[in-house]
Amino acid sequence: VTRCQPLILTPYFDNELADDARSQVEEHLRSCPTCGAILDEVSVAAQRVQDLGRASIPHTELVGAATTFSERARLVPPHAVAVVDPQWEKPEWEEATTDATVEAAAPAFEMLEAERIALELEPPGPEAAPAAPPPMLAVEMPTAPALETSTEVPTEPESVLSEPESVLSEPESVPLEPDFDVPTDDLQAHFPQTPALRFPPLPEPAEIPPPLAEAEPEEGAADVGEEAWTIAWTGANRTPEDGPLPHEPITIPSAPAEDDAAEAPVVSAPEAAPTAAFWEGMRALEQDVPAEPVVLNSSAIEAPEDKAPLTATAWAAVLQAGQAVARVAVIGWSAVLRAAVIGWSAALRAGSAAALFAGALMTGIRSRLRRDSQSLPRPEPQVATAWETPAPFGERTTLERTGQALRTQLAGATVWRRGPNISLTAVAVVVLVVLAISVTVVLGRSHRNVHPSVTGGTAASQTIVPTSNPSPAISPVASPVAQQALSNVITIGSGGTGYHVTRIRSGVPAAGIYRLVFELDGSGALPTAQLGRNADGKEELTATGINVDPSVVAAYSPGGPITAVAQTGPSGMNIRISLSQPQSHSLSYLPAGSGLPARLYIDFSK
Amino acid sequence: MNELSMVLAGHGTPPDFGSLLQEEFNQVLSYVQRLVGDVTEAHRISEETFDQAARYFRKGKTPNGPRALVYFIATARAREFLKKGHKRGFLQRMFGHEPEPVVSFAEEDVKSLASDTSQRALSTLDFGDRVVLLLHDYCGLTYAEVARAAGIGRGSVARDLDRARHAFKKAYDYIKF
Repeated sequence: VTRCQPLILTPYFDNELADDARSQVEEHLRSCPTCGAILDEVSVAAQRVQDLGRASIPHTELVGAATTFSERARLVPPHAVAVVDPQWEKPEWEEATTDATVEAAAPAFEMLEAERIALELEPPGPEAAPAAPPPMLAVEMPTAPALETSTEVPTEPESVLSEPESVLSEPESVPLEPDFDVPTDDLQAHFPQTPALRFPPLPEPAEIPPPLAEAEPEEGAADVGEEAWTIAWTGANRTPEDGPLPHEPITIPSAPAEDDAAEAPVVSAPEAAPTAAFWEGMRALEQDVPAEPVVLNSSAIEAPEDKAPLTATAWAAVLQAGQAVARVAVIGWSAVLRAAVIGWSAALRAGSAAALFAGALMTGIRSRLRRDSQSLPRPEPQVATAWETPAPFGERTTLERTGQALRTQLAGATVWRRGPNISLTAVAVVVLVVLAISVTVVLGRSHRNVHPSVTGGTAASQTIVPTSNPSPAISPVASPVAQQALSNVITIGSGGTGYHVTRIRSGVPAAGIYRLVFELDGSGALPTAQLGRNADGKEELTATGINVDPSVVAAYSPGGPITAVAQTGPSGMNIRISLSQPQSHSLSYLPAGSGLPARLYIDFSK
Repeated sequence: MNELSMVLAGHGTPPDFGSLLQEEFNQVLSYVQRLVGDVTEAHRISEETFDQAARYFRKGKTPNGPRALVYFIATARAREFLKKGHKRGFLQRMFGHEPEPVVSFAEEDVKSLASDTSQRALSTLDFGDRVVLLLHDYCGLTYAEVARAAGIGRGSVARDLDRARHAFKKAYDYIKF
């Protein structure tokens, strides 16, 4: 930048320039004192504006105000505002978890739900006690040697089988039909007997049992192999001819017995064992922390379709559907109400318009009929021949007959009786309405509080507390003139006392501004002074901490827009200033300095 | 990364209405008082501003640039007040009903808004220059936010701000010295 560009100094000062332009300006500023001075001026002005005072309403007040405004606008609670996309709305029970957690724990939900149903189906055994959990699964061996081997395993807990003898001896009497095969020792160790979805403390990762396919064979069961661990599935009405189960690969024993239910098609246990992913999901759900998405293979635990329980996902779908139905119902009901209100108001308007039209139509019809009745042909006078044919004695005269005929004729004619003048009534009603509206508007304008900034843009604005319309939230200003009906009230000072006016003078500090100066003598805090306009349009200046000698007031000679200055109170400073025409005013203090005393001055401007 | 995960991660979380009010009410009240010069009217205008701004937060939505939006509403209401005064509705004129203030405060809370030389120098500026100067230097808005709140272009912000600063400096020096 070789030449001065003062306009670019402002964005440079505000760090709004690009880097290359900024470097050019900096290079120019090193060699241009003029631009440096302009930059200093800009920085000083910005700093002075930044140093302006600010309101400091306590935080507690604002918290309550935020609640009030939110209720007025019917906002959702603040914790839900952060959810931008409405499609992420969840049922209440699901709010505490993240999506990843729920996704990871979904297989665990399904497994536990199936387990819960299994527990509900089977009645508790007689030895079911808090110390000894009831049986959860009935495990059988397909063949007699396998059964014996299985019961003789020393590591097998006794509590696994509720009725070992009866189950082993009478396998067809087992009522439970487990829909998946799980190592019972793991379930007993990690899932206490409780039908509710309460998760026991999870084992440490080192304690997570490996799948049975990877586990070492138990002692004594090595000769049995994986096929030995089977679970009776069908019960009484299931035969091997029914084919394989829909959810798991089926292994048929080498020598099935047709008359033994325990030798029915069996499910291989390792396929249904809980995997490491399952335990990871369980841990994530227990700790309620986001977990890596778990992808379970198709061999994971799942229930058969014909015995599929109502899982948590289904409950969530039901809840969401219920919420949607309720939302639609509320929206529909509000729409119906709104339509009813709109229709009712439209009907009222249409009715009033129809009434006005009908009134005007009836007025026209009546006036037309009145004119028609007045223009009806009048009967011809028949009295003209009354004397031509004198009536015989005892008979009615011609005149009497004529009168009788005329009355008979008129009796059949339409005679309008003059009713109330509808047009005059309508005009009177309209006039009354217009008068009422006019009075309302006039009264409203008389209460309007016009700020001095409206009439005088160049007037200095002060801290103004309009006493004619005090806000209940603001403590009233202690001032003797606060109770008077003043407008455009300005209050300055900090409650000092002991000042007195030594001189009153006036002048024109700038074009369009006329200044009235009260030179003060005193020290300490500045007295509270108040300036306002009374109902007569005169300015009232009041200050309790300032005394004015009447001779000082009398020595002042008015000038400019000021026509008179008079003292209205016996003590303190009570000055009434008369103006030739209404002016905007401002009130300020100037501290003593530069050989001048402290001054209280009023600036008048148009 | 969807919006929910962004919100959970704390990136780009839009401010809710409550935090916006608690952070900006004092500043908005001060700004309006510097514009209209009356703390009572500034209080009323500030409450009306936040009452109107709250409607933009309905249904869990957050307006774009909520801070600039609040100052935009406040500026428009202050301009309307300076032009037409406090316009009351029909029922207010008939029955004199005034809405109850929501935010209550004591005189000490607004003592800092008392007039001084800077305020008097500000009152000599045009309304547009005053708005730009106050929004940037007093309220701390960026050029983009000032442009949105004042309803002008971003290039106009730099031009008006430069003019307003020089005019303010000139008026301040004149009044002070």
